Amino acid sequence: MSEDASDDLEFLLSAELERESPADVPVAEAPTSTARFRASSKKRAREQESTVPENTTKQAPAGPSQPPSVRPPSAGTCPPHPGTVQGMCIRCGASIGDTSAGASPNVALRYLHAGLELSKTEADRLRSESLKRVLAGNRLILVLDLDHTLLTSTRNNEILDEKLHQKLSKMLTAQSLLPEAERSLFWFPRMELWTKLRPGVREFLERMHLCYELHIYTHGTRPYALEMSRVLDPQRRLFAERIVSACDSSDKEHKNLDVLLGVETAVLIVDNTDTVWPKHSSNLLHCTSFVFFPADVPRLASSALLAACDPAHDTPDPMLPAAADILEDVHRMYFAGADAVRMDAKQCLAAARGKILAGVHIVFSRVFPQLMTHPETHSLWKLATQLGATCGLATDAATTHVVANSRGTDKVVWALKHGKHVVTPSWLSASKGAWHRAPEKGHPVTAQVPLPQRPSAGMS
Amino acid sequence: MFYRLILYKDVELHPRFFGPNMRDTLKAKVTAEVEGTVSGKYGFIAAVPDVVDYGRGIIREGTGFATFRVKYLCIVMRPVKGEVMDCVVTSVNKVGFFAEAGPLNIFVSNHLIPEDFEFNTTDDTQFVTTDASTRIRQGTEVRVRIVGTRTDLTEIFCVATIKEDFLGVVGDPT
Repeated sequence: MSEDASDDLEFLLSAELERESPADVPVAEAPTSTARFRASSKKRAREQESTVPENTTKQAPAGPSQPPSVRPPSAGTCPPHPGTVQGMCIRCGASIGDTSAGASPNVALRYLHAGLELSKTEADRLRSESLKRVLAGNRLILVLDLDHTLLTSTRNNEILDEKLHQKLSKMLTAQSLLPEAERSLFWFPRMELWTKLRPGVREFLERMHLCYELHIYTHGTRPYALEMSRVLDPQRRLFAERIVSACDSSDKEHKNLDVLLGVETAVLIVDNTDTVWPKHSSNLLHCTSFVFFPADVPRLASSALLAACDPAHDTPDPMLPAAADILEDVHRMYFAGADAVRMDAKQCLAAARGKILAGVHIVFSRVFPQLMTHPETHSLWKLATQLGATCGLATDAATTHVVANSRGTDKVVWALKHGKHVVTPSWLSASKGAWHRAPEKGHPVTAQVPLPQRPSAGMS
Repeated sequence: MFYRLILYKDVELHPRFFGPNMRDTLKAKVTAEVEGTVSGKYGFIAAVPDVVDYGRGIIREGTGFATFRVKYLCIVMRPVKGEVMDCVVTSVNKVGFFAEAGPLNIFVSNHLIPEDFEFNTTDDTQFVTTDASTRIRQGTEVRVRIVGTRTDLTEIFCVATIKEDFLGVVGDPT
């Protein structure tokens, strides 16, 4: 190193140290010292400059001689600061006050790093870039909920029954002989938490990893989310850093896709509660809740339940394999179209939903009044159509199912005589929840309500 | 950048330490209290190799404690804007990557990463060049130039770039 070079550096350093708040030193400064160093590091030159032929200055997106770049060069100048991390602009390093009048950074990506915020334009730019990237890799984006969707957890102090506690401990010791990848029950002493994985979750994740970029979005705390992801994904291959927890969400009550930086035409969500996704209900694959511990049963009584805690064995749960089939179907539909950018995953999902009751023709009995002018606006009619069934007002040869609230009506009698299925409205919601045609035997019509005295034909 | 500085610290010593090993205790106390802290003015105090002068202890009125104004030598690490340093990548995401150089946390945003690197999540979250010759992922050693620094009570945070000549990947974890 020549004498001149070291003097320059020293001068630069002492000037820096004396400054109170260093002004912006533009990055392309001091080309002379670089020129001198270039001669001595040929190896670096070979590595770095192989794709950039002639460089005399250190300008970032280089001139026309550069081969077409993969990423479009981002606008080089900084007054629209793209984002800040801990108060510093991420591109120019300038210090931005917290209440900046300028670019209004507002998407807080706390799950990536505390203090990282992006401006709206930058967030949108990243969204479209991640869409392109994901489509180029032939994948879509899948957001998964943790609790009661992929697994369920309960605190030790909520297990009041001593026998249950013993059963769980026995199960835990029995499983400790198995390799890590096959266990389904876990105990975390530091958090005093029991966790049970949903049957089939590991296969589900592996299948989904092939066609989707997986994200976790939970309302649990960050340490909980990280611990669960370590259980489901020990090699950090499936989720990596794409884990959003309660504190990273922009709204405490609801979940939103803005923090994920994904364009919502390519995102699907799997969650057991639909109320937390108010803005994205058409992207949601609403699945049944997975319940294992008895303490959760009263809390989740309203949604479609699974057989509750039976520590003796893993009852086979059809939900995850069915969801995997649906998601693979949507993926196929999305990429079958000629122009993948124009496709919308929501429409593909609706199409997949429309296959659930394909071929079913329904007539309703005692569900809505006969004189109702627009029966197609009734929620059950709409639900049935959404699931792919066709609905009619009167029974005929094409009818396959009669949805009724009680026996004894004309339509029910006709159906039983002709061997058609007679089911309660709960059959429709069960089919919707399980994402396949629910067995009709599970929803028989048993109520016997006497018909009122009427001269002519009964209610429809 | 590392500097050697002479700093002063007032240390209070309980009378039970007055004895033949008083100086060792003082040195240990200074070391324990100062090493690893961040001073806004000087940077991150990395080590206290030696004490230059212990001073004369003054016994406080009311309590038996003695106060020593210890003059000690320390090695501080202070990042300077424009400085080039080597660091190790700790995490990669679509906005850029985070790295650390000892106690320093560094963020390189994708604006300051050369265009031929693209973000890729198929195998391992990483930035890969189009010809797949170079990858940046967790554990990669990278040479960066500091663009901005921010010091707070417990840590120093920097924003850096690799979008210049001679910067970029220096070593791969595998």
